[in-house]
Amino acid sequence: MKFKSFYIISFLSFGCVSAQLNDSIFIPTNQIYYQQLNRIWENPIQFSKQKFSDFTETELSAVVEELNMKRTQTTESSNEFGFKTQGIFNISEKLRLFGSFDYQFVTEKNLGYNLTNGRTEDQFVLNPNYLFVPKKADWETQNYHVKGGVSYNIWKGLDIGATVDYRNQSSFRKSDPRPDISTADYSGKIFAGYRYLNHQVSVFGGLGRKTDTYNIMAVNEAVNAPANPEYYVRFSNGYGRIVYFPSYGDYSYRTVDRNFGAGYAFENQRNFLNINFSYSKSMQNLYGNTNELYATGSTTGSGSTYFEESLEKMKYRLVNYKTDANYWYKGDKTDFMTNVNFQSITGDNYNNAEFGQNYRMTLDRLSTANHFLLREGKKIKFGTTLEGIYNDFSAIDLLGITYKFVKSLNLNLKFNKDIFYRDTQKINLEVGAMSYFPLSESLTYTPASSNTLLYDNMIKNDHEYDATSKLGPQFGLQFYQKVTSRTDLKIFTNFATLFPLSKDLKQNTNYNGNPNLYFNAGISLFY
Amino acid sequence: MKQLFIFLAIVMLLFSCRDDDFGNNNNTLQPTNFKVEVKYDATYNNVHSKNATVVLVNNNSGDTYIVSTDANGYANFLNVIPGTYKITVSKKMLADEFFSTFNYVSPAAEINFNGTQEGATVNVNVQSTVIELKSARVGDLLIKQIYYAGSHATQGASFRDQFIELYNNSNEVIYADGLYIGQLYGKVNTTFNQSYTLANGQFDWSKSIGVTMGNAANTDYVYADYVIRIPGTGTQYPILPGESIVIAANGVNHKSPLVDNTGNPISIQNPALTVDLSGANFEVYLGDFNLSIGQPVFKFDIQNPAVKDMEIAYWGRTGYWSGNNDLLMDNPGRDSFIIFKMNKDEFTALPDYSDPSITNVTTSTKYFKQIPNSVIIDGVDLQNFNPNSQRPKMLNASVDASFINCDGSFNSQAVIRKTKTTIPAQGSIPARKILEDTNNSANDFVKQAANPRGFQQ
Repeated sequence: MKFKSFYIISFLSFGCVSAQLNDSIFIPTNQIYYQQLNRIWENPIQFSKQKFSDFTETELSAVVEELNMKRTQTTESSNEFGFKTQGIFNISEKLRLFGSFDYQFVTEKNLGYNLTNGRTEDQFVLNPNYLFVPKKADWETQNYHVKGGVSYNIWKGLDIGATVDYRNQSSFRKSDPRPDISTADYSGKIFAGYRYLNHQVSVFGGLGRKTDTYNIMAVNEAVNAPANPEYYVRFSNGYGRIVYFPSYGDYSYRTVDRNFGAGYAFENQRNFLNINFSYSKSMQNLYGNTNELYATGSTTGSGSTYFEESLEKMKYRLVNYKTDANYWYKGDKTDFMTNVNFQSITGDNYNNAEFGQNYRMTLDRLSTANHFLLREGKKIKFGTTLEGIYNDFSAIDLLGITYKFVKSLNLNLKFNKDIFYRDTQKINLEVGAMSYFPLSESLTYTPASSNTLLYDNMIKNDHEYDATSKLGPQFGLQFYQKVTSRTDLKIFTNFATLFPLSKDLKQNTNYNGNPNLYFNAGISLFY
Repeated sequence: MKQLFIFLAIVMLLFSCRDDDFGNNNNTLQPTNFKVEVKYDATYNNVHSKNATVVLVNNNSGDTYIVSTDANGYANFLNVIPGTYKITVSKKMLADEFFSTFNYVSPAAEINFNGTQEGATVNVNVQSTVIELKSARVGDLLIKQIYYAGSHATQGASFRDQFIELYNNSNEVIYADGLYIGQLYGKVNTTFNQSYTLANGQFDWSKSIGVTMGNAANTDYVYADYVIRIPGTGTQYPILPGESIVIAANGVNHKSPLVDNTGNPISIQNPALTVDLSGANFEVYLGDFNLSIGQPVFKFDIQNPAVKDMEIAYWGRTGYWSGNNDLLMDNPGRDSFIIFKMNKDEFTALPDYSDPSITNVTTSTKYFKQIPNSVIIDGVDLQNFNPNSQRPKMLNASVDASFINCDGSFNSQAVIRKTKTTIPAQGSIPARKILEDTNNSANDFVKQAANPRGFQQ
């Protein structure tokens, strides 16, 4: 259940201006256009003829989550404070720039079995190679994310574009053992396309490089021993398998992502259609440190870690085939958008010391998001959003020995309406429901190792969670105030909750029976 | 259009993909069956060993499998995770089984056999191995207790209260005079290096500068960086049956406040965490030795005149002294200890070598005394308490087939030998305890709070 997508989509219900009545579209005036703004990043040259006018938006927001019902490697509660600014700038008819800057400060409480910056709130499993301790502790994370993009018409129908992306994250755990994680993630993508009449074909390719550097310290290093099972640092290699990791004090990951693809777009006055096919392969290498290599005598698993073959320990490869299609109908009184997305993702690992693989993950995901708005001038008479996600997930660890699969369906349905409206102010109310249904699932485990810790405490619990149907209501309220002719203010709040639809989760796990609670609020200014 | 084609060509070059991400070794790891053939060594005509206990421990994960050999001497393991293993075989044989197996009378009521193999490969291509059992060296004088972990660094005595205790497990008086205690040197991790290690990650001493004896340098010898010797003329220091001698790093009462050699007070916040070593038989005082080689006296090397000093038998080659300035045991447990006896001249004549990672001798090169396994009376391989940081064995299986370790460092624990049985008092002869001695420290020792002259609780 992605709460972030929940509140982003809830923006859709706010305000509505008939774009086609104007020469250009001011994105903040109609939240439906944020969908298109997000897709500009996927292939900006497909949107080079869309007339988006200059805008800048700045937002402050807070998100609070109480996750009573969750996978094990997810925090029990979190608070997030965020700042965001984004905009589009048309330098000329041929040249468009766009960009955004995000900052989040996140505090998390009681996270166990996880010494990484990954979480299983929105994914079935973590990447296979990571350290953990059973002991729960609080975390703090700061995240900076800056993106920029450009599209440019070179000559007649020939367009080119580029996007660059940089994210820097710093996370640390506040009690022993204490990972201090620094992440730097750079990526870039270039695009070229040719337009003939209403049709455009394009190609694109990108490169990314992400580094995660881990330094794990402990005030009391002596507790890192099997005699203290809550604090003993262990290494997960797959899904259920635990191995030793001598470089537990300092280690690093480097992930190199390569992707390419092609797209097609069609547009006329009322209709816009685009479709993109892409292939990406990311290779994550895990590097140990010099203590292990040179036996420097460190008693804390510490040493210098860097990206060199002699320190390389393990690999994880993710291959993603993705198809994304969008249709947008721009009527006089109605807007309709539909998106269909299919991804086929395969992940597999490799252990350099053992010269082989033991883990494989597959995820086939088909999702659709449909939005309909009925307007009366600038007022929304009625809006609805229907989202559906079908997941076919499996994970197998040949040495674990664990085999899990889950086929599931997420359905979210929302309605909204302006319950108060005048030219300078309005209030929009949204009500809806989000749900999750497992269609079929299975978990088989054959102990091949004398260590069943991960199965007993993480895999079983997570599967019970994945096998539980869930349903919950959600509400949103947004207040809009026109400040000047070019400046708008928005204050928004959203609340959602999620309940299990059976008692099995409570009976079979440590779940306390309380629902999950999600709340967010914020203020944004656009001009 | 030309620009488009150029662009496309660049993209193709950049993203032409390779599918050899995992090299040519892209194989799937799956559990496999594995067979261990167990035989006695040539001394016993290579007879197959039935009902021996075979333990497989995965170097990479600690996964452990235990199977006994069948009547033909084979241990058949099912569904073993592939990888590199340490295999330990132990067999306890009573006199009647000994006679029925070898057709002659056993030299003792109980004989223990041990065999080990480090770095044994288990995978679909390697599904069996052979291990030879050697009879365990029967020692009447044992290493009974090693207190290496130390106590809490601020509330206890840190590393200052370390000691080692020896025990007379026989029914006769043993004289400790001239007994050597060696602290061995080896690699502290299992990383393989083709230039200077064996497959298990231990030093390949045959590659040390000056060593010409080939692999015997690894199989028949151990290497010590520090050796101390109990003084005496031969009959000065008797150890009665069932009695111990304690050799302390500092023979003082660590439960009481002290003053170090610089005049600064040492307070003990929690005396229960440490031990009273003022009653130790010997202490290792390096002060005079350090002064003789131009080094200052270590501030925590506190001398108690009431406790006799051990002799410094070897502290590195003259002019290339080893670094410790007191008897310092590695608190995490990366040490091995042996006791052995030989006369002084023989000991002095033993050669010393630098470790095989040294290719050029410099002024900072360290040397290690080469001690033959044949003179070792008893030995114990310790292990790092954290399995993520394992080290390879130093001792031959006939001395110690496995490892033992405390639960952590500075936790007041010692490894102490199990009590096998107690022989009741007979007339004027007091009761005495017989301690376990199968030369397999994982079986012979337990870990518990250090207690000089104490026994397993």
